[in-house]
Amino acid sequence: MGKVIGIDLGTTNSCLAVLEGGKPLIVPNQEGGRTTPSIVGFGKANQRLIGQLAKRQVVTNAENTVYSIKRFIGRRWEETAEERSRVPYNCVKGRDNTVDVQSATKPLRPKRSPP
Amino acid sequence: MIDTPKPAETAADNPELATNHGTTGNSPDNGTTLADSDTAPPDSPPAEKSPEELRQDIAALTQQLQEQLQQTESFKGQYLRIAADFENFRRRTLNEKQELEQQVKGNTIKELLPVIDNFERARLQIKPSSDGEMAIQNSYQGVYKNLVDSLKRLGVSAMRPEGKPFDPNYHEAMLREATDAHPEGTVMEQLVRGYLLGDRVLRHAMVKVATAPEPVVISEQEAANAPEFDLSLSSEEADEQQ
Repeated sequence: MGKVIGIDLGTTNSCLAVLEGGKPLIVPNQEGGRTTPSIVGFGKANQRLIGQLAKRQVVTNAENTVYSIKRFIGRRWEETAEERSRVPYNCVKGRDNTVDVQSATKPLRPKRSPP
Repeated sequence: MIDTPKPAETAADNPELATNHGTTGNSPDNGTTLADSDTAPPDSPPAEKSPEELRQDIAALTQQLQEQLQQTESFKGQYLRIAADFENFRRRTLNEKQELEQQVKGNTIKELLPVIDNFERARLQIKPSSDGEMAIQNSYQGVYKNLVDSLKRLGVSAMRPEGKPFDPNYHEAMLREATDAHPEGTVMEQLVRGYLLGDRVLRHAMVKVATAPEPVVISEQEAANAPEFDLSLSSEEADEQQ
């Protein structure tokens, strides 16, 4: 039987929980942490690193490590000039004036969840 | 369809009757008495009921049976789900218990690691000059050795990341340094020692990572394009060749 999960997508950290016996239960990540850094790193050889793993390699690969993406989700290109100047990854103007991220391989678009 | 529920109903309602007839009576006899007992409990004189009333009774009972059957079906589903949930829960709890044991062990040892760090720093910093100082140095380093041996017996091992390619599973990059002595992405130096407990990471090694010799100054736009990626690819090939 499928279970419903709830995700708190934070700018810095994210958290995931399921309902069990009517009470929410936080699902720990692979490393046992209850929250996971909201970071995705695109490493060499197309590998994708997330969470703590991505955070540990950010110094070596700042241009291809995306964090604080929530600042850009659902916002227009022209209203994010200040935020764009503060992130080391490359932002590009996407369709409909969205802020897309240029990763090493392809442009990625942060998705806004349906209202 | 209408006949079959009746014996079942009566058998459920009057188990004594049903068993009595089952043991004593023949099959035709059994049939009639069962029919009697069916109508008997609600209304003692069965003959006085009109066929119309009987039909209504049957319809009501059939409907009741249908409802009961549906209820049973839903209870069965519920039961199966709960049983499956419980089985999952038990399995997960078992895993979590083992996991927790490791985690508690890890957390406890992790808190002891700074003590080891300090012993190591002391060994590096303190230069004993007299015999008396030497004796003190040796004795407290004996305590250090003792502690390390105990941790080794618990399954703790130190990482030796120098010269290995940087792996975020074990290492945490603290800084980068341009060098041509090592291929790009190699761990040059360990700033804080990392430890493993079995095959779990107790503490990630904080390391200095080598980058390509010339820190190429590239503009924003160039960085977005291919050169950076090509660079990384070529360094990877270099890794493989070595």
